[in-house]
Amino acid sequence: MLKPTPAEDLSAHAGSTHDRSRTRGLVALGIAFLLTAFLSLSVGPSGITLLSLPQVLGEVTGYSVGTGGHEALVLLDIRLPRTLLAMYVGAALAVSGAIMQGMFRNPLADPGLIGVSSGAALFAVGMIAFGDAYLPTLKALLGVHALPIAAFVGGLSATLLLVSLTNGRRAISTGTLLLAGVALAALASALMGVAAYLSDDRALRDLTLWTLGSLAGASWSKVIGALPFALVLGIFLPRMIRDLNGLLLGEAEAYHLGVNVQRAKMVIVFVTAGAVGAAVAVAGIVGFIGIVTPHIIRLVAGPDHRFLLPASALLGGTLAVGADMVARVAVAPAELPLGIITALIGAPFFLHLVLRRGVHG
Amino acid sequence: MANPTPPAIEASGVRFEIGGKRLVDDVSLVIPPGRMVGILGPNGAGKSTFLKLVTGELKPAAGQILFDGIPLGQTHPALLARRRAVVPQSSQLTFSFSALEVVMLGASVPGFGLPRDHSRAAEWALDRVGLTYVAERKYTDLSGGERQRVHIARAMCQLATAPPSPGETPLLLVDEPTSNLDIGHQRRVLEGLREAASDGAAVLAVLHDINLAAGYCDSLALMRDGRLVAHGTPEQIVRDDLLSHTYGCALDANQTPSRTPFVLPITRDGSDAASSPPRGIRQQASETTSR
Repeated sequence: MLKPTPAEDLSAHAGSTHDRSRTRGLVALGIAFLLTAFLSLSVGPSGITLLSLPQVLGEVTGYSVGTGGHEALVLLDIRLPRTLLAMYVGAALAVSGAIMQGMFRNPLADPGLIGVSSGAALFAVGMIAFGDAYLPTLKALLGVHALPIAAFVGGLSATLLLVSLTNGRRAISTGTLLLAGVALAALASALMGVAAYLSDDRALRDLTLWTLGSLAGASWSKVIGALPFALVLGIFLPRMIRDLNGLLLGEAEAYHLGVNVQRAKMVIVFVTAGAVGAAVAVAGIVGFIGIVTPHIIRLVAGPDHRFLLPASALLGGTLAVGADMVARVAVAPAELPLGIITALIGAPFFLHLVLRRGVHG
Repeated sequence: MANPTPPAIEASGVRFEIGGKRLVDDVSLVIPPGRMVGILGPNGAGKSTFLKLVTGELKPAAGQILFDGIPLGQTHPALLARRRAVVPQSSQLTFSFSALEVVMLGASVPGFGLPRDHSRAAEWALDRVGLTYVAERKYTDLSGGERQRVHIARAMCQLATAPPSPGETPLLLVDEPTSNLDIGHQRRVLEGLREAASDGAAVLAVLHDINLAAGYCDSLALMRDGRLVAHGTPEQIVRDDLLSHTYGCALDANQTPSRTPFVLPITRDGSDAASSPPRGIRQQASETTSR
């Protein structure tokens, strides 16, 4: 029974129809991702489009004489970092959502809904409000990374709290998870209010930027600040795939399949806290991308993380770039917070999920 | 090394306790390659806990467990998974994998390089448990018995796709594989485990049905209150006094005409639960030779 007879060839083989259609799906998502990014670069209230790109490139390389650098400024210093950050925020939130759903074995886990983003935002706000007064050396030392690192610590604290609520034998109940998220979010927003009240920092004057999310302050320094966390996420993603597939069966079963469960969970907790923290540090709390995206992918292609994680990254990035485009042009020259757009799409979707699950919760 | 071929599984003096209560107390058990051992005993005897100690899920408070002479704790989970598959008593799954995908998860043992498509191995394993017809169905839509067989197929797929290195006996550890199955499927599952043993694996199965265990296992380990009461061939274990004492109720052991031992409970009026047939069979067995 253990070994098939020679006639039965069980060797792994590449290129089943299943895998081919998944590869095609990833290619299609990748094209959509890039197209949206190009579209995002060419859309904005200034009326500059990508048609200016050849000229801008000429100016940058010193090959041709420009028109005073206005186009270059808009394209390279405003839209490009903003688009890159939107790509990162969407991809990081979608992948982190998918990963957390796998670890908690609960499809309603989302960094925004379960309080991880709130924890990250609270620590980022705390760093802005009190960093100069109480941690001046540390803040100066960390430079552009100070905010992402503070947010990482906040997200990590929230995640570790949630992990301590789980029990290895059973999946965490949706009720516990969401109620813990409500409590964490309420606590974080109250403390953020206190921080804003105590501090006169410009960055905190408009708290809605943090609670509703926005990429209006995008800059290259924010891109550089988030970059290490994006790299860590990318490096650890492949090794998390197998662990997560095993964990979907349960922690004991994952161990039977060769997963070092405690270490896998630690890696997941730290990497997602970092990814979410960096996303919150650059864009505030952008909700629902982490739940809508993996859900759509699972509906189409099932819960296998080999496909789910890369596909979520591409679709999440596409959604965030698209939503940010809408945020920029919908009420131009003013601008909507990004989180409003994602909530307008995501909240009804989430409600639908909750209602459909009903008593199974 | 004094012994050139150590047993596949060797538990010696294994103890496990929670809150001062000894769930497994000084259990020693040796399983050579190619043997199928059934663990029997009343509810709460520590059977499943002992199995979890052998899988490595739980760490013993005292004693040790050796696989082919190497302590279990010294082996990395990924290396362990190449030669040891476990079928749990029950498993819940939140996400809607198809049955085939669940079986394929068995092949996703770490350390095999790039993820590959193991659908053929998974199809083969599903066929072995007679479940080809549910391959594309959602696991969450399957019946309890079908789910149980899917997990057995997953374990088979795990061992089939992970060739163990020379000197490593494949181990199949199974917790009540037949609890949700009708008698036909119970037999098919045990025949499958039996075949695995014939192919050289060491099989350790927690079983509830004494008769089924006696029919398929090479030896039976009887547990009660965390202790190993007895370990021996089915003929040595399926005896009136031993079983009645262990299970705390009056039991009547017998043999079929083909000399397979079996047991029946004795009802309050002193007769066998199934009235006369067992006695008849016993007499018959003593009079006729096996078929």
